[in-house]
Amino acid sequence: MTKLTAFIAALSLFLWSNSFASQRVDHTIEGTVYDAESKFPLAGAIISLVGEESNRVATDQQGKFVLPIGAADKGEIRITYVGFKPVQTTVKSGEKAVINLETDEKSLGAVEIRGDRIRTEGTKSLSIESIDRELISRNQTASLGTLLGNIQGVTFASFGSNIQLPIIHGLYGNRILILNNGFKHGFQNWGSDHAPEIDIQSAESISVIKGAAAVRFGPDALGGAVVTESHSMPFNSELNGSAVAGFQSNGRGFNTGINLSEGYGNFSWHLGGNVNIVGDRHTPDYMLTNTGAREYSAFGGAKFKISDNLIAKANYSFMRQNLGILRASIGSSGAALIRNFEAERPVIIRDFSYDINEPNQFVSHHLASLKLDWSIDPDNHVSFRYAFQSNGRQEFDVRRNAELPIIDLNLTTQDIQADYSHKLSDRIHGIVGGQILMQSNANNPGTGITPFIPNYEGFRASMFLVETLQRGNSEWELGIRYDYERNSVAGRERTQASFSDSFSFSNFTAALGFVHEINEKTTFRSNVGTGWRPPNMAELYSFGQHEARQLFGLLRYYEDAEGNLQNDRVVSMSESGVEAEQSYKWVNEIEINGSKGRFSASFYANYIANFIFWRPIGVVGTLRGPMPTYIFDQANAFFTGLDLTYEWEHSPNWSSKIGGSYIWSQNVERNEPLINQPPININYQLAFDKRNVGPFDRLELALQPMYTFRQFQAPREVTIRDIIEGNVTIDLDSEIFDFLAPPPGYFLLNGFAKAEKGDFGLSLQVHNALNTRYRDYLNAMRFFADDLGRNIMLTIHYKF
Amino acid sequence: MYKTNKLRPLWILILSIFVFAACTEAEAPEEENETEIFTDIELIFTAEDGTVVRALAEDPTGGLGINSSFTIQPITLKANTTYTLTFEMLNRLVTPVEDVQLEIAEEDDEHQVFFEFTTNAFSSPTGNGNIQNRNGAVNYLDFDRNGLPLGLRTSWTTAGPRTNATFRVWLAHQPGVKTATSSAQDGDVDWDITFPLTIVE
Repeated sequence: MTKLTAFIAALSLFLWSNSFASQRVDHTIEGTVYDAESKFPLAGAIISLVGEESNRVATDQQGKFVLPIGAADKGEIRITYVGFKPVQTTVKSGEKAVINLETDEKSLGAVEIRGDRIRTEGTKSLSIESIDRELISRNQTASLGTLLGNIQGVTFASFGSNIQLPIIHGLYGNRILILNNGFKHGFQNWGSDHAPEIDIQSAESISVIKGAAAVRFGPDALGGAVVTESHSMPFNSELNGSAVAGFQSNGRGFNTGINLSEGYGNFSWHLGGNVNIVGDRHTPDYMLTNTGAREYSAFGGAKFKISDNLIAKANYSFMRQNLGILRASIGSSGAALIRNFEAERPVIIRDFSYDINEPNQFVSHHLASLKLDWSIDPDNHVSFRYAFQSNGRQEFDVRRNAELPIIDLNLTTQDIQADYSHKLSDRIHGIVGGQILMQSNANNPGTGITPFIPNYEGFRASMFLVETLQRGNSEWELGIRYDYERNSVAGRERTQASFSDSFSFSNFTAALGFVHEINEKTTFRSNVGTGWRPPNMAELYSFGQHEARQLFGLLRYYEDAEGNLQNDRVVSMSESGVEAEQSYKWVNEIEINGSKGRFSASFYANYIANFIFWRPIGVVGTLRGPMPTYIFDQANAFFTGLDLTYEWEHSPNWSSKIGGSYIWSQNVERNEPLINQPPININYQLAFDKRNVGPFDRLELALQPMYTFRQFQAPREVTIRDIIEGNVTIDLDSEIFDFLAPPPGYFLLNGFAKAEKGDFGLSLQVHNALNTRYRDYLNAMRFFADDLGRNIMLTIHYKF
Repeated sequence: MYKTNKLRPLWILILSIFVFAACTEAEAPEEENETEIFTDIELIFTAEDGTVVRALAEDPTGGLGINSSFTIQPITLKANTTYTLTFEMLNRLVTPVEDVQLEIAEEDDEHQVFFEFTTNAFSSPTGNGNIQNRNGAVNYLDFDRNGLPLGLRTSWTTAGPRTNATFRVWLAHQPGVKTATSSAQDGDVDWDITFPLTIVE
């Protein structure tokens, strides 16, 4: 539709400009304009002579143009086309120029265009939202978790200022599948204290699929999936890239990064890297000692056209992080931890420093992948993918042997995938595929601690089929999937005696989706699906004192005949009652795209049988003081909620966006609240966007107030002191509690400004502009310290 | 027919990956010595005449039990006697048994022992100790590399007879925090044990 109107407009321009070009013509410039990625000629692209803009022509159906340039023998031309980045180049007369235009996500509604690109078979009926390159590069130092927090219905749980995990519809951790460049990110995905080691700056776009996307992507996607896509490496593109440098006030952090890419006829490549160094952050009132971070990343890729219908892609990425954790969150004993809980201010506050001491996490992640895309014909397509991932993690705790890691793990993941997308008829098309995933996790000896999780060898084989049927304005989508998973586990008991076990899980999952275009502006999507997730190793086998608290996995404790908890042996899977999580999720979304606004609402209900969660169970007495104790537990849970977004334009330059999310969740088995669920939040953005303002080509300003409510569905509060003093007795049947009540609601004012001039861009972001004192319910550090104070970030971009 | 033959090595490869990977058994990680645990903390009061009084606080699981508990023996001292207090801090979960005190002595600039006792149970030091009040009197006999008190050796002169008294010992871990004015309230607590105290004729 838009292409046609653009073409007509261009055609009339073409005729119009030709009528003026009837003067004496000495020279002309000729050329052809292509879409750099698809290599299709672009009809209706506008070619104008720089300095003489009224002299312009449009390309014809074959993408060809002829532009008279008068007496000069060469001319500088500017090529523009809606949805593509403008190109400026000098062409000599008599030469036949070949011009490749790259898609420009900025000038189109980024959400739609990226959304469409990511809408692979099997996800059409799901609610998807994306973050484009523009927003990614504006948030140079943000983690994947905080960045995704920009999407309605997505929040993040954090473990201090460096570790953030996305939460979709109340689910997080290993219930969110993270696909890095098409592969399940193979990392130590357990607890709320392990964030995915992905350098978001290496991603071209990031999308969130808010549904049980299990059929397409496999188990673990109970809450949804986060998909990052790397550089598309278009063929026939000149050397281009970007460089960025930034500074942030909170933590005196600085970062710099570079991105390069180039494409030839049959070969293209890209290369990049980033460095991010931050020191101790601060709250409005005090330093958060040991919250610095150091992150280094490098990434590169190459694409080969083996033949016209066979394309090979190789990618490699590396990331290394050293993340500090708030010093005051760790007591070297239980007594110290309790003091930290009870203190108004952290008990350890030192002067600002870039040093990272214990507690900290030192992580490195390699991902190497190979993809083959074979287009048999326009309707049939085969894709083969292989990836190797190596993840090393060392965690350091405050302890006497502080130079030894308390956790030292190496995880290797191999992933083989093949799928075939096909068209059975004009109305039916689909995809069938299979996957083998192998994981091997090993504890490196010498920690002086009984391994927190055991060694394991995991194997998973999966098959899936998704078919889509088109009927008028509606589309039906049906998917089925089968997974088989086997794990062999070997670890150490408390006494250092070894134990081993092996067990398997298998499951069928299915999804039924429906998309209906009610009218041109309104689309309705509905997806009902099942998903499942086998318990992970930490949920089963966690054991020991980690961060001065005791944790016991599902197989690490049992109830004896007298009803007392015991942990003198590891329970085998076969005699335990542990079962895989099974989810039944129904998501409905309505989207209205008007000329001046966009409205979207998504409503969901998710029932999860055997939901696994972490909860306090009491306080254990030790010589080192009372130690808060947590266990993993299972119960049936229900989640329901609503995400709303409304965007509208006040005038060509002013626009507004308001959004809110509400989640209601309950442990339905015991009729009590769940722990660590996101509270309600409302956010608003007032934006100003104008081209050619003063000296700038483009100026953007935005004000972003937001309010997060107190979590009123939190468990009751039972203080550690109450338990020690015997005012409360806790056992497995007691009502769930937490050691602290949820913090009060808070208001934050954020904002940003961005100015562009030529290839340069300058952006300024302010977070917590009012320097508000607050604590976030989903930040594990809320027990010990306030959240971050005002942070001003200044970034300079250069694109070429 | 030809086609099947060509694909056969591929199928065999895939099948062997499948079978091999599906049957890999994990091997147990190496045994670790749990070095971060106190199972025994013993107070050793040695009188000038060589009489030794011991009081043991014992936690057999080192806090690794989900129902961990510990026992504390009472201290019985003689009135009007001067004792030197030293410690034995052991981790009996490892072989050979670990003397944790050696490590604390090595990191003397990061540690300090603080005391609290029933008011005026001792004639020297007097008062009720330095846990609540940093300036409370305690007779330290050892000092760290910065000349600050350490507390692995202290001197105690009992006052008159007493029953139902308490003697609390607090090992503070103060990496980068220990100064001439730092108190028990600074840094972390390695352990904090309150013993029943009786002083007899």
